[in-house]
Parts: sequence; C-alpha cells; structure tokens
Amino acid sequence: MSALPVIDIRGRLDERDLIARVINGDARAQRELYDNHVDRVYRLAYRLAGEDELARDFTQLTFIRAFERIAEFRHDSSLSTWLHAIGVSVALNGLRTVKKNRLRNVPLEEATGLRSGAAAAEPDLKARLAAAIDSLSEKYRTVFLMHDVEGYTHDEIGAALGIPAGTSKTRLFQGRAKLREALADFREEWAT
Amino acid sequence: MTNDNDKFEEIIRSAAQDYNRPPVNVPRDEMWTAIEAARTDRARRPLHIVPPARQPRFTRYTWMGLAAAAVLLIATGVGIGRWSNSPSAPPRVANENQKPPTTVPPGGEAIHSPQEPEASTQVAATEPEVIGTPRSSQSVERVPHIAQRGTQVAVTAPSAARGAPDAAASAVPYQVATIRHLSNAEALLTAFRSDSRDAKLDASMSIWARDLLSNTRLLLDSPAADDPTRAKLLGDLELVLAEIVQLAPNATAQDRGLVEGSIRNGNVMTRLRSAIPAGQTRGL
Repeated sequence: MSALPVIDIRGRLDERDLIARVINGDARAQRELYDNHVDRVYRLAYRLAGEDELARDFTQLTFIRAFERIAEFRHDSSLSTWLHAIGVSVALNGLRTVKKNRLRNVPLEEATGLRSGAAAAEPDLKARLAAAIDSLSEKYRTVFLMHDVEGYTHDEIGAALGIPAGTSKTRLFQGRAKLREALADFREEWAT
Repeated sequence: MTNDNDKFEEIIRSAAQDYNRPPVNVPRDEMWTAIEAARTDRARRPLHIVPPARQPRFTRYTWMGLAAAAVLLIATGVGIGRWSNSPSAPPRVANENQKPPTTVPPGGEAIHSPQEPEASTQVAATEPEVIGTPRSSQSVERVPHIAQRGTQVAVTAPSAARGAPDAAASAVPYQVATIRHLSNAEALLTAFRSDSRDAKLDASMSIWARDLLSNTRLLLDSPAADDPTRAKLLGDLELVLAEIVQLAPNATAQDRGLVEGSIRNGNVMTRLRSAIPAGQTRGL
C-alpha cells in the first residue's frame, strides 16, 4: 500500500530532473521527454482529428510549443497533464481552423434515421455511432472521446480543458444521453 | 431498465473503440525529425497546419493592408524617433521648420510665399523682433541648423551621442516601433478578454490579430529582438496572436478560455504592460 506514494514521489523527482535537463538544452533529455509522452498525445490527436496527417501536425506542434514554454512550467500539475492541455488546445484550435470534421458532420436527426432496418448488424452500429459522435458538439465529443474511448480520468480531462472535473462529468453524461438518443431505434431493436 | 441502459452504454462504449482508431505503431521517429527540423528552422513560427480557404480578393486586400500597415508603422516609428530624440529645440525652430520656402535675394530681404499666410503669422507671433529686419542672415543661419537636425535621427543628445556607436542610434526607431506595437497588442488582448462579443467583433479582431502577428514576426527578425527579454515576450505574443487568428468566428467561451489560459499562463499581459513605459509613449 505504501509503495505507490514512494513511486509517485520518485517519479515526480525524475520528472523534475528531466525537465531541468530539457531546459538546459540537453538533446537526449528532450528526446526522452518526447518518447515518454508522444504515444498518448498522438493517440488523442488521432481520435480527435481522424486523420494521420492532422494527428502528426497536432502532435508535432504540441511538442514544439512544449519545448518553447517548458521553462514556464510551474509543476502545479504533472508534466503529462500540462502536455495534454497544450495538445488538446492545439488540436481543437487546429480542427476549428481546418474544418475537416465538417466533412463528416451529419446532423443528429439524420444520424437517427439511417438504415433503421438493419440495426442489428454491428458494422451498421459502428457507422451510425461514428456519425453520431461526429455530430456531437465539440465539448461533448472531446470529453466522450477522452473518457470513454481513451480512458482519461475526469481530473485529467478537467486539467486539459481548463474546466472543473464536475463539469467534465456533466458533459460526459449529456454526451452519452445524446448518443443514446441518436441510436434510439437501434436500441429498441437490440432490446427485442 | 437501468440494466438495459448500462448494457446498451457498454455496447456503445465498446463500439466507440473503433471510432478514429489510431494506428498501432506511432510514427515517433518521423515526427521527431519534423519537430527537430521545425525547431532548428526558426521554431517560433507555428506549423502551418492547413491554409485557411480564403477568397483571392480577400487575400490581395489583406496583403495590401499588411503592407500599408507595415509602412505606416515603420514611418511612424522613424518619425517618432526623430521627434523624441532630437535635441531640445526651442519652439521657434519647430515653427521655422513649417515655414514655407523662403527666397532670399542676394543681399536683399527674404520673400515669403504669399499663399502661406499662416506660417508668416506664426513667425510674426513668436518672433516679433524679426519683423522689419533683414532676414537674409537669419535664414542663412537657420537652414544649416535644420538640416543638421534632420541628419541627427534618433540621437539622444548631440553632445553625448557624438561618441556613441551608430548601432545604438539606429536601434532607437525599432524600440519606438516596438513600444507602439506592444501598446497595440495590449489593446487587442484587453479587448479579447472582454465579455461582450459577437461574430462581427470576432471577425474584426481576427484581422487585427493577423496584422499584429505579421508585425510581431517582422520585429522578431529585426534588431528589436536583440534584447533577450523583449525577444521572449515577442515570441510568446506571437503564439497568443496565432491562437487568436486561428479562432473561428463565434468561437465558444471554452475556445476563448483556452487562449486566455495561454495569456494567463505566460503572464503575457503583465509582461506587456511592464514593457510599455508609462507616459507619452503609451498609446502612441
């Protein structure tokens, strides 16, 4: 039971040491920091963007900004949280600019009426679910993807989005409700 | 019913795992190479993710506007530099500078241009002793003085600056232009943080931010960025402005909150305000 805090403290100390080396311009430390976090940042960027190219751009820009600003990191949160705050900001701003997600946007009403006859088939559920997720507004979509798909905690989501954890829970609840509503006819058939 | 809800949500959650499923292998090395290249190649410029679709006409006018703004900024900076750093000249010299061209016949009295009565009146008001006296000697004396003043651009004090390096003199216009730019940026960020917003305001703010972003990059590449503190401030300002430019019209409060977070976390407003000297230079 007492091992966890020790590991946590050691991890924090290691992180501080790593950050200090990065600030001093140690190239190996920069690569180490990058390797420690890039997978999760990229995965989230990909979930939000849906394209490899955009996900790469967002990830690269996230680390470029992080390296530029790391001297201002005040250790109020973990480095991972700080990085993800940058990453989410970069991805959401980038997506708004690019408007790529509009191509896949289907209004919720349309998503509810797609191919109701073959509701039991799993591929159809996935396609309709994808359309329904696309049609969620950004605040619900981001929280749903971070929590239910990528497994972030509400504290992590709150820190990344700059909102209280309670707001994150509310948005997740409302987002799920909208998805249930969008897939209502599928649910009826599934129930029978 | 609750069980059904839970099961259905479980199905949704499970199916959602395939939504935008990322590849198993993350292209770590490729991205690292790109990051290193970008950081080496003047990393201050944010990656151009996808160029926003613009009307060609709008682009042309934007560039024309930017060019005009840049010329105006530089001209104002140089002008202010000359004005603020010239030796404390007596008021009559300033009036003299506005006088119409004066023709001095050899050995005769100066002839003033008849279509400039105001200038003549000013001289008469400030220099009553000049009226009725031959002006040839005065004109001959003052012309070199004015010319000399014109050549002393941005020299703080003639006697003290004689030994100063030329680099210091040429940096002053950049400093003045930078202060003016930072004042404008402070005004933009203050307006950005205000609560009352609408789409029209967002659009004009985006254009404003784009102009300031261009000027920030010009200043970053100029001697104004020789001071490390100021260069860092300009770098942070560049990032914030880039985020504002990328904001869509009618952006939500959450979107703006993210940008405000950048402003707050970097203490940009505080640093901007401390970089702008109080007094007559504020709000130039």
